[in-house]
Amino acid sequence: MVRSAIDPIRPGASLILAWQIKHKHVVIIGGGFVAAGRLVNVLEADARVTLICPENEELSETVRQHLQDHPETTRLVDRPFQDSDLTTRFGEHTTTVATVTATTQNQHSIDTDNNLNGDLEPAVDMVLSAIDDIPLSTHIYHLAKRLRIPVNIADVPPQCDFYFCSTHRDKALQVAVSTSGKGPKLANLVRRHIADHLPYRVGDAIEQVGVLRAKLRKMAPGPEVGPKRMQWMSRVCEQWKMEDLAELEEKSMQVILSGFRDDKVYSYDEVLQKLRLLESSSLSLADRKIDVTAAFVEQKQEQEEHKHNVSAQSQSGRLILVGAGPGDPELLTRKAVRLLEEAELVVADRLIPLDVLDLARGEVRIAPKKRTILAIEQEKREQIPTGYDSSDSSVSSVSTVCSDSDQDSVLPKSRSSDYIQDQLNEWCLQGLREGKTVVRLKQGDPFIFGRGAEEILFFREKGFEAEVVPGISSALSAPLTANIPLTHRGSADQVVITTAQAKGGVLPDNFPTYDSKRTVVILMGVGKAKEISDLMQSPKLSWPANIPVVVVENAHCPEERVMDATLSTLAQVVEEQKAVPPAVFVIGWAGSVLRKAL
Amino acid sequence: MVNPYDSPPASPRYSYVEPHQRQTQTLEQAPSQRDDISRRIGEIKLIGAGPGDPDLLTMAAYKAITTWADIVLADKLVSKEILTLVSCPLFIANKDKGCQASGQQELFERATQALRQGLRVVRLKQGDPFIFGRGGEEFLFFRQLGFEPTIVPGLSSSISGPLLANIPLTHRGTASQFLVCTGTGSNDSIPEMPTYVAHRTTVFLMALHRLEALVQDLVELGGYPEHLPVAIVERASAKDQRCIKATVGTIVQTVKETGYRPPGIFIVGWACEALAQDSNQIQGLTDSLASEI
Repeated sequence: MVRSAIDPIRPGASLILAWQIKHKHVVIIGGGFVAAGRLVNVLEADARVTLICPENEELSETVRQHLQDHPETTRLVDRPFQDSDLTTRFGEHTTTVATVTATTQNQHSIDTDNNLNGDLEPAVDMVLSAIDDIPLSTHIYHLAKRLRIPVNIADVPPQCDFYFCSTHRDKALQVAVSTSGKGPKLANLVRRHIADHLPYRVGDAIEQVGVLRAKLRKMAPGPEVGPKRMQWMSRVCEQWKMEDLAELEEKSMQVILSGFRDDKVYSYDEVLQKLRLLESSSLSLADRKIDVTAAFVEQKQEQEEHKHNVSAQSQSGRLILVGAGPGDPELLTRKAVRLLEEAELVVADRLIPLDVLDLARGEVRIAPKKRTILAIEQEKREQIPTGYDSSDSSVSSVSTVCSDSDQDSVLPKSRSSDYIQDQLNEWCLQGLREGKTVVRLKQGDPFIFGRGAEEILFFREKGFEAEVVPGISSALSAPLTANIPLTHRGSADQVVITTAQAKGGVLPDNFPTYDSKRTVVILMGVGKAKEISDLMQSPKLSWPANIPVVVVENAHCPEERVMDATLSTLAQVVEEQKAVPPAVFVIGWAGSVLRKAL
Repeated sequence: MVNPYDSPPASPRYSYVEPHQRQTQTLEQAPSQRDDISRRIGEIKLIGAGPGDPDLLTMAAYKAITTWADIVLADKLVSKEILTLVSCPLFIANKDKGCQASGQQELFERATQALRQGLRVVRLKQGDPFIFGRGGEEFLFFRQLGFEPTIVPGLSSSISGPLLANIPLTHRGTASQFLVCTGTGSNDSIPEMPTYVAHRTTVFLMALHRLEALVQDLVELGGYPEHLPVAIVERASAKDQRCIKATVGTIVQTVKETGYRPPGIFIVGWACEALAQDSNQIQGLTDSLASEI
């Protein structure tokens, strides 16, 4: 067999990667010299840091100053480490001193392990332990492993998922030297040697090339010109000297970019010459820029217009609220699929299945779990017993732009969902302010109990006008999957869709009255089956006791279940069959039309 | 151009295909030339085509009409842009006034014939098959024939129409429920008018040809206040989508001035103004927002 000459594999190395820790949550335990180094490393990478260290004991002056300088992105937790620190989100840590000391905690570690069942969810993306207490750091290591959080225990190589490299930084350029944990001191020497021999102003050159690349991408977007873009950029980098690249500015970049269309890379001298010509002629640079873009537009007529508007207009972000439908990726619209592929940031509801999220090519952030939030809320309420009035709204920015009827809110609302909503809005804003295309992916349809309109108002106030893409609402598709036509000639000619959760968790006072040709779809009613049944049979609404009610649980999911009942047996069926949310009730004579024959 | 959506089917529910069958088939082959045809049992999918924009087809619908179907039977209401995607024989039912019954009859005959030949049939319907699409009746027909249809939901214009005009059917503090009904019952009867509920958005389909009478019923029978905002969304999702905004009291006059281009839906309720921009709050016409998406 003929073997071609390939480089042999040399095992034993570390895999060197560049970790995108931006906006993510890092927990550092310790406050000494090592902790200070870690803090600098992760802060430079734009992470959000919780530093756990008793302030009066071990907190070094360097750490204290860094924390003071970065109040937005750092939090000090002034007490020893406790297990809940790895399941607590950034900014939610309490400083309550644990009743057990560190060492006794470790002795109890087996109990703790048992408590760590699947319900607990990591709220931390990276754990860095920088303490001398070996038993405690071992405990932290096991805890992090159990929660599947990448962890580094300083000075204990076997307990490290990753090592820190010795790094040199010049703006965007980072040079990392690893000795795979074998010789940190030597790594430092090698790093210094490399830094001394780097080309003059390499950091500036990289920054400017980054700007040029971004401009090129905006000017010539689309995957079909990807290879041409890449090839042209590498020719620019090869042909230009490092210090000339570092000198690049807006005007000269426009000139270089004008060569892209004809696949030409102008030299430094050519660019200077053209710039001089330009300045002497009356043609302003702004016009020139439009010329360049317009010429490119002509080449790709089949592309949609809005893309050009976006690329030519500005660098500001774009937000699209996209309905993800009931969960099955096949029920996404083509537009939703395309937007997921294009988005640089996707901010998704918790319930959206991974099959759907897999379509995203950019960064994906998922709403935090309700239960975790509830726990935090409870903790908070216990701490500050007077601080919470169940009727106030934390979404103040939304309330102010809502109509005056906002006070008698009728949609389901709880503190935890407001909290999640705030978090999701904040993520979207971050992306928008970085000029990204952000898709806010919402279960079902954005405007059907999806709070989409509130989000539009929120972002409008912040200066961003969101676009909306409809999705299939489970209020409509759940009945369909259970073979219930919501309208059917002779049986139903209208359909009412309502929620069972009004303000304060009670049934809304405007439940529909009986009409023999009306189908009612009730969302979020599982816990209120008895109340709904009683209310609808009351003389005021007068729904007949024997009218069919179909309960559709987990529509479109593998666990989908359909239960038949009547209005009078609804509560009993829900209880006996142990129906769970998400589920919809479909009430009306149309319910039996297609199901009878099954 | 390579189609990015030709990814392998992700969901068995809507796109399961016997692997050995698919391998030997290409689109160029006529159905009769495909192998194993005599042994195959006919299959039918009842599919919602959404409001009209081909971009708003579901992936399941898109794959069904481009690669799965042997024959597509569509209504005249399904948009041309969507019908041009169909890559197999296409039958469009003639349901002009006076021919509805015979058009439906012919469609059933075509479907029956194809199913008995063992073909894969897609019955493509505007919007969602079960929301005023008479999908239930067709479902029963095919079941009696011995072919249990698979139903693929589509975006109903009753829901996506308001959204594309930036009208949220539900909105905290404004609407906690919505009602979809028709302005015309079977045999051109007039359905009972749902009474006014403050926290409800009501969507009327097939109502605009008798708008004046409907508005009169709203006020006199339903107790809807004259100053309640209303909106008409014409040709939702099409390039020439238009939204006419007014109130219960002024809509008839407004439509007399602007004219009306079917098909359209009529939306009644406070939610119509929930997202109105201050600058756009002039009564009457607002520009389409849909084409910007």
